[in-house]
Amino acid sequence: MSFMELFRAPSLWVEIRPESIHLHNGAAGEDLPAAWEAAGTPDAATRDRLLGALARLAPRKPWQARGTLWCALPARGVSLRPVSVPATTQTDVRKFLALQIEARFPVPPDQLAWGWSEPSSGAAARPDGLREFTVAAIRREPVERLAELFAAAGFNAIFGVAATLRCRPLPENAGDACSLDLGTRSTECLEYGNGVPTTLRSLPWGLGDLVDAVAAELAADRNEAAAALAALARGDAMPPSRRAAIAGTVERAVAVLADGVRRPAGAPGFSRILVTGISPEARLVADALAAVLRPLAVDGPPQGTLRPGLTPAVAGLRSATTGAGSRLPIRLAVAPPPATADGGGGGVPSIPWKWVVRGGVLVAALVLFPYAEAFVGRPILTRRLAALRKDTARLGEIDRRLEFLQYVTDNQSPYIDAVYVVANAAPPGARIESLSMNRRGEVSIGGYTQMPQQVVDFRNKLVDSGFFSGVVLEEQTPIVGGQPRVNLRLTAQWKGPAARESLKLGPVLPDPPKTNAPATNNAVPPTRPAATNGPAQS
Amino acid sequence: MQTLTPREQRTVRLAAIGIAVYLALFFGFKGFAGLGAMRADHERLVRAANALRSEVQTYQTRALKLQRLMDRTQLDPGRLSTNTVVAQTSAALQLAAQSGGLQLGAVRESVARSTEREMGTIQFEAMGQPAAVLGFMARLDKLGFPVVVESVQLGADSRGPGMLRIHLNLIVLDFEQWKSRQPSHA
Repeated sequence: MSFMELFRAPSLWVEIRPESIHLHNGAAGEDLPAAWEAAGTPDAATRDRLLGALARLAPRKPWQARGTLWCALPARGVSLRPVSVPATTQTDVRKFLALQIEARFPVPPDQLAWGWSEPSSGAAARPDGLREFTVAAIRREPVERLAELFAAAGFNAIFGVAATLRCRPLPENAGDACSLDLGTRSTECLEYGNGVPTTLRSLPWGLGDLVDAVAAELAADRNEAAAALAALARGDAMPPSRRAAIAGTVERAVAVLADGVRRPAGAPGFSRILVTGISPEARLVADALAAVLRPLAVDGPPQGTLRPGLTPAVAGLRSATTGAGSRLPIRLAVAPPPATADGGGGGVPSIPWKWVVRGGVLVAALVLFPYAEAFVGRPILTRRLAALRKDTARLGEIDRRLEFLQYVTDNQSPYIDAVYVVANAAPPGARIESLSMNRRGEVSIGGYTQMPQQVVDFRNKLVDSGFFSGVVLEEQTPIVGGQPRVNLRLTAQWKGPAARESLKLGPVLPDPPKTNAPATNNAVPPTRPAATNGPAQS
Repeated sequence: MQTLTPREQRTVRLAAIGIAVYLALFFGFKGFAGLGAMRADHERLVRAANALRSEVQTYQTRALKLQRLMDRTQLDPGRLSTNTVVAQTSAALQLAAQSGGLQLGAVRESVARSTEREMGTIQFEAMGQPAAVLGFMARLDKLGFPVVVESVQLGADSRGPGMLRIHLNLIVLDFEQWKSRQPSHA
C-alpha cells in the first residue's frame, strides 16, 4: 500500500436487483438477499445487511474522505426514451432535455432522477440541426432513499442503469440487438438500434418460471427441479432421458421468453441477442433461445464460476468507472450534475483541478500579498511621502505667517477706544487741545474747561470708564481774563488687553471699505514699483 | 555519443533534481530575504507617512486660524515684497487718507535699525474733520500691510474751527526677517 492510498477514499460498485443486492470493492464482493417496501426502499433487515456489507467491504478510516459508491439500478420503474434537441452548447443541453422531459414524460423533471447519453458523441448534429439523446428517468424518491442510506454509511452514491452496463458498448453499425438479463420472475430486456439503447422493458418471465416448468415436468418439488437445472447447467452426469426431458422443458418454457423478444411482423429482427444472469441456468436459457430463434445468434454468459458480488452489471459498472476516459453510459442525477465535456455527466469523478488551482492561487496570494503590497505600493507610498514632506516644509511657513500676523494683531493699540472714552468723559464746554497716545498705552491729554470742578469730573469719568489704570492730573491752571477757564494736562495709562476685554466701548464701527481683497497689499499700485523702500520725504 | 544506461540516467536525473532543489532553496531564501527587506522598508515608509500625516493634520487648525487672521487684517504675508513694502504702505496710507477726506501733510520715511525686524518707519501727517480722522484711524489695521502704529497725536488745526490734525508714527514690519517673538502687552 502506497502512502497516498492511506488517504484515498474507498470506492464500491453495487447492483440493485429485485431479489438481491450485489456489492464488490474491486477485490471482494458479497451477494445479499433483498426485500423491498412498497415505496421502493429496502426493508429494515435488508438495510441492516446492506450497511454491514458496506462496512465490511469498504471500511473508511476517520481521516479519509467520503467514499464513492457506484450503484446500478434495475429496470423496474426506469423509462428510456430517445429525445432530440436543437444543436446547442453543452451547458444548455440539460435545460433543453428538461423541457423535452416536461413535454414527453408524465412526471415533471424535478420529480425524476434522470440522465442522458449522446450516442454520436454530440459533435456532429444531424442534417436537421438536431442532436439525438437517450434519456433515462426514474422516480426520484426511491433513488433519494437509497442515496440517503448510502450517505449514512459514508458514501456518495452515483446511480446508473444496470441494463446499459451489462454489455460493452455496441458499434453504431451493429444493427438491432437485444440484451436479456434473467431474473427470478422477470427478465430485463434492453433493445439496441444501431448500437444505441432504444427500449428498456421488463418481461414477465424469469428463471423461477423455468424451475416451475421443470418441477411440473419431473413431478418434483422446486428445490429438486432447481438442483436438476443446476446440474444440467454444470454438465453433471445424469441419465440421457432425464437430460432430454429437462432440455425439452427448458426449450418449451423459453418459448414464452422468445415470444416477448420477437419483433412484430415486418419489423427488422435482431441481429444478436445477449443473455446474462447471475446463475448458471442463464447458459441453459441462452442455448434454448438459440434453438428457438435459430438462425438468430444468441450469446450466453461466459463460461466459468460467478464470483460473489461481481454480476455482469457490477463488472460493467466497474469497467465504466475506472480508468482514464471511462464514464457511465447514463448517470441518473437528482440535482443537475456538473456539465462535462462528454455530455452524459457520467464520468469518473476527477480531481477538481480548477478549484485546486484557485485554492493554490488564493494561498499564494495570502502568502505573497504583504510582499506584493510592498513591491506595488512602494512607489505610490514614496510619492505620497514626498508630497507629505513637501507639505511639512510648508508647515514652518504656516507657523511663521501665523506668528507674524498674531504679532501684528496683538500690537494694534486701542487708539479709537481711547479717543471714544476721552470724548465721552469730556465735560460740556471743555476743549481738548491735544491728545497723544503711544503703543505702550501712555495717553496725554491737554485742553481746558470752564470751571475747576469740571476738571475733577473729567478725571473721575476717565477713571470710572475702566479703560485707564491710572489718571494723573499733571497740571491744572486757572486763567483769569476775559473768559475764565481752567487749563489742564492729564496723563493716563490704559489697561492691558485682558482687563479691557469686558468693557463695552461705544457702538461698533462699520467695516470700512476694503482697500484690498485677498491680496490687498498688491491691490494698491506702488508709487515707485521698482524703487527700493529707502527714505522718502514729501 | 555514448548511450547512458538506465542506472546512469537515473543517477543524472536524481542529481539534476538535487541541484534544482538546492538552487531553488538557495535563491528562494535569498529572494524571500530580499522581499522581507523590501517589506520592512515599506513598513518603515508607512510608519513615516502616518507620522507625517498626523503632524500635518495638527496643522489644519493653525491653517484655519491663519486664514481667519489673513481675512481680518486683509494681509497675506506671503505676498509681501521686501523691496517695495514701505513704498506700498506709504501709498496705501495716503490713498486711505485721501479717500477718507483728509488733507495730506508731511510724510517722512526712515530706514529701520538693523537689529530690529522692522523694515522702516513712516511719520504721517494729515488734517481733516474729526469724523474723517477717526475713520482713517479705524482703517489703519486693515490697510493690508504689516503696520504697527507706534504713536498717535491729535491736535486742533489752526486752519479752521473743528479741524483736527493727526500725526502718526508707524512701524513697517519686515516679514522676511521674522522670527519667533513674544507679543507685546499693549
